[in-house]
Amino acid sequence: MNHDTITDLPLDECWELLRAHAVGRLAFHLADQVRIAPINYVVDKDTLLFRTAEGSKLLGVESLGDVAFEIDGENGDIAWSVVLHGTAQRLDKQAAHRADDLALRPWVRVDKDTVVEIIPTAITGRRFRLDPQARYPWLGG
Amino acid sequence: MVESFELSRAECETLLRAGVAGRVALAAPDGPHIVPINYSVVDAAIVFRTSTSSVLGTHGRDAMLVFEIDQFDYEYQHGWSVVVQGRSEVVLDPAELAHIRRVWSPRPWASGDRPLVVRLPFGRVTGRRLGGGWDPLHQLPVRRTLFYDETPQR
Repeated sequence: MNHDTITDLPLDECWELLRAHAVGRLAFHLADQVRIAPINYVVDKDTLLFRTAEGSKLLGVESLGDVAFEIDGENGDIAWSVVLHGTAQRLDKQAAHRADDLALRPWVRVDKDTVVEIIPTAITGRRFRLDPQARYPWLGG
Repeated sequence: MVESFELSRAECETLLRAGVAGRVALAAPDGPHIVPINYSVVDAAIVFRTSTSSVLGTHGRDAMLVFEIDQFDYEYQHGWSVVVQGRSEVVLDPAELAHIRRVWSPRPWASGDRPLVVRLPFGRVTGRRLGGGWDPLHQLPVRRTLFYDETPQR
């Protein structure tokens, strides 16, 4: 029988992970539907910033500000994820310069973009240790 | 700055079948949620397991969901993502459950654990690739990772 150990991550470790990564997935409402999209983000103190072109992502943000955001990864036998709930708002031109200072450069070319800030209301993280035998079933476990 | 391209339906399905971990996004009364999950593709549907008390078990059954997988390479600024949108269904039929259990991979199915089986048929499937000059199918995800969905709803 395999045993998977799940640990809740303390808040500072969640932030460490958020700062160490650059891509996550944003869930938001658009009309009546939930949508999800990968975004290139950066941490600015205790909020997240991302750029988006005029289009569905921003439309979703403007119509309903509640979002969820997630990052995850794995290192060897450990998998981890951080999920954040928050509100998203578009920054005006002046505030948007914060993103320039933080070198937020999206990977996808955008013609005119807007900087959106996600203000977290809740952050949770998990670490998940795997049973190595279960991970490689073909080794005869 | 890199270009972004659409993936074909066939490429999206190949990537979906090669993966083992993804994320479900759903609407709950307190807003959108994202739940990292392990999944399998069985008969043109994403199949995952959850518990009845979880967010997925409470708000993700017979609901419009989106499911997403991706891979990003920071160094080369490559990436791709595939999104499946559709309506989830709880699998209750014993024969179908047995079938899913038989084909479930990569890990054996621990009984009693996350007993609610949900399938999300391939409804709308879209995908994007970032960066030209490379093929996502040559770098299929190697992630043999199990994510635990999340804590029970209070």
